[in-house]
Amino acid sequence: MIFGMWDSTYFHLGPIPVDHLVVTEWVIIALIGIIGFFATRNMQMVPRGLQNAFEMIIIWTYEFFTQLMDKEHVAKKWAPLLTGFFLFILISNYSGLIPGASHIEGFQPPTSNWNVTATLALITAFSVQVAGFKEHGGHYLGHFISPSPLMLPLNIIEELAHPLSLTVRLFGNIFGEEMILAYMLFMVPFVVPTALMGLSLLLGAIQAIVFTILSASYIAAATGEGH
Amino acid sequence: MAQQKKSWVRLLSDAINLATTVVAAVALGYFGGRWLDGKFDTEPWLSVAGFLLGIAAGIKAMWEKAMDNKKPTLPEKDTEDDKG
Repeated sequence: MIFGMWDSTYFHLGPIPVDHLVVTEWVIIALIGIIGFFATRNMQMVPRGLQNAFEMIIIWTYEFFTQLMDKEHVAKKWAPLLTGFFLFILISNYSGLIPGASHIEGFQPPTSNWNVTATLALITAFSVQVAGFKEHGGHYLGHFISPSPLMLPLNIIEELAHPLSLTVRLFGNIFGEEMILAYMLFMVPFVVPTALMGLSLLLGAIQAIVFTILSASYIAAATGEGH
Repeated sequence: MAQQKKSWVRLLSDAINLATTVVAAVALGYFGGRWLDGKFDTEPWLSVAGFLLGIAAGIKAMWEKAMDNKKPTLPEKDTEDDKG
């Protein structure tokens, strides 16, 4: 069976069908949770091992988002969500790189399905509005009619274009990459796809970074001085 | 308040953002207009209007970013200065 051909529902949660992509997402979330649990178990004043590595990553993340978002308190508030996006997207993108994954149901990267990328983008869009209202209160609505009320339709289109571009970019890149990889593995199963898998490693990381940076920049724009 | 020099991360995000926002705005305007045309049986007027609005929204986004980058900048302050 070739990648993208499955339409399997494992079970229903009430009216909601749960397919292999949802289960893969749960596994990825559990994996991140388990690593987080082990990193924060027995926290020491002088960190060692996994705690040390995680503290380094978190400090770097705070600095990175502060640089990107200008305001430190905004960066600290939204860094956990943005880092969560990064880890989830990165592991999702890489889940398709396990040898033979494209031929195994359940190993298809969740990010190669637009429902998943649209959900992530909608979370970003919702967070942007929340961040804007928290920072500026009711004045935040003023940016929709800035610099003049005539600009209202343009500002609404621009606001809606952000989640659309996030959705399509991540989905398109990962879906395209997985399709090429799957067909190449189908035609030449050994050695040849290795180079493409190496490229996919790079592409997966770049797409995770791009999604995170863009989400951060949308939040920064909503909380910035211009509003 | 004088604006600080933008970090490379911010400039990179601006570049990625603009490239896709312009395309997404045009697509959104056109397909939104086409959907409304189907609803109100006004083909092709709302598609055309949506398409033009999308282009205008893209140009506005580019213009705002260009003006934002044109503002006078100061070199980045050192951490020590910030503390002081």
